[in-house]
Amino acid sequence: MRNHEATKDTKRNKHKTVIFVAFIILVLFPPVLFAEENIEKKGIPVVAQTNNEEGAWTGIDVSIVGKYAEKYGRPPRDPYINTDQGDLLLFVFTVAGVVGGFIMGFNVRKIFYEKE
Amino acid sequence: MTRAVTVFAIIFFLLFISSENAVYAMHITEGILPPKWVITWFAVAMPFVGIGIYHVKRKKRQMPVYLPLVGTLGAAVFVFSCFPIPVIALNGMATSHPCGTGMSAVLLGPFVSVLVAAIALLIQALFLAHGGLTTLGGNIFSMGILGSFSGYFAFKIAQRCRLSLFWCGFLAGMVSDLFTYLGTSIELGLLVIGKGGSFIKATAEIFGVFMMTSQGVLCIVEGIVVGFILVFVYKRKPGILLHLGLVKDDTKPVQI
Repeated sequence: MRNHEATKDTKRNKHKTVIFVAFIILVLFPPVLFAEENIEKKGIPVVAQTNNEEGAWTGIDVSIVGKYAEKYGRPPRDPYINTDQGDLLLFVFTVAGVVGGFIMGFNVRKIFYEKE
Repeated sequence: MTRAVTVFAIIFFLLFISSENAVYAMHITEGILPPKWVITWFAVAMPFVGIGIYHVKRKKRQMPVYLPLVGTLGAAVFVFSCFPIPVIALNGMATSHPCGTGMSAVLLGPFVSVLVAAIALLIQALFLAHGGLTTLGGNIFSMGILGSFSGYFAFKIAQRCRLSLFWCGFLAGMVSDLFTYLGTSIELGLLVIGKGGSFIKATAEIFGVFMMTSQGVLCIVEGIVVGFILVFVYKRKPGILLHLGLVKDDTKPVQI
């Protein structure tokens, strides 16, 4: 009886995980994959709004790694999936932070605060 | 309990405000490495990732809490390594990020830490425009392999020297950060080979610039964070450190 209930619980948990992953994929993938294509199709002028421009609080990836790579003849180029467009990067960073924070919080609670 | 909640609240607040100015640091961006180095770094990194998978499978049978620990530290490495921290250094205002692999290497073992770093770097390359797919092997080498193994050995050496748990963690975090950036400097320095430049000179120059700008300050911050995390784990659940072999015997008081 107990085994049966445990199997049911495991199945329910698996379903929850599948739904959660499907939700993340639904939310995350379409904007990432189609953002650039849609802009091109609609002919909307793309505003050069990347964070790669050097200025105050520039990441050292740009100010050091990029600079030396350029000096040695290997300048960086855009990533294959370029999310660094307008607020899209803000969106993916926020989603990543929320998902990462959720996983950390869930497991910290499980390890350190739940009774064995 | 309240202190732990406050610490987590501060971390998430910093994460939230920093996400508006997403920037990058040690990651080598797409297109920087030529094909021969892309293949070389992948060939170097993959065996470590494979051994990491084997270690996870083996250890999860020995220790029930191991998988949740991998989940926690995996998420932590992911968040740490794309978490730009503003630093005011010699070149003015800059941002850089910690690596988190020192902490994961101590708590999970160096091979599993390489696996965790590889997964974090892959997700960042795919969705966060952070690093790159062709440079993934190189980034795994610097942050995963060099960061994890240097942090792990620094912790073990500090333990041999009978330092307190906090200082062992501090050294692990600091050394892993330094070695990660040394790895990045080596990978960039190798680009001068065949172009008439000196590899050692180029590596030393890039590493020096990293240290003088933001990383010199940040490696100390990372050391402090790792030290406090180990003390937190010891105070909250010393059994975990005992299981992992980080504390020899929990009846002996550990000097914190």
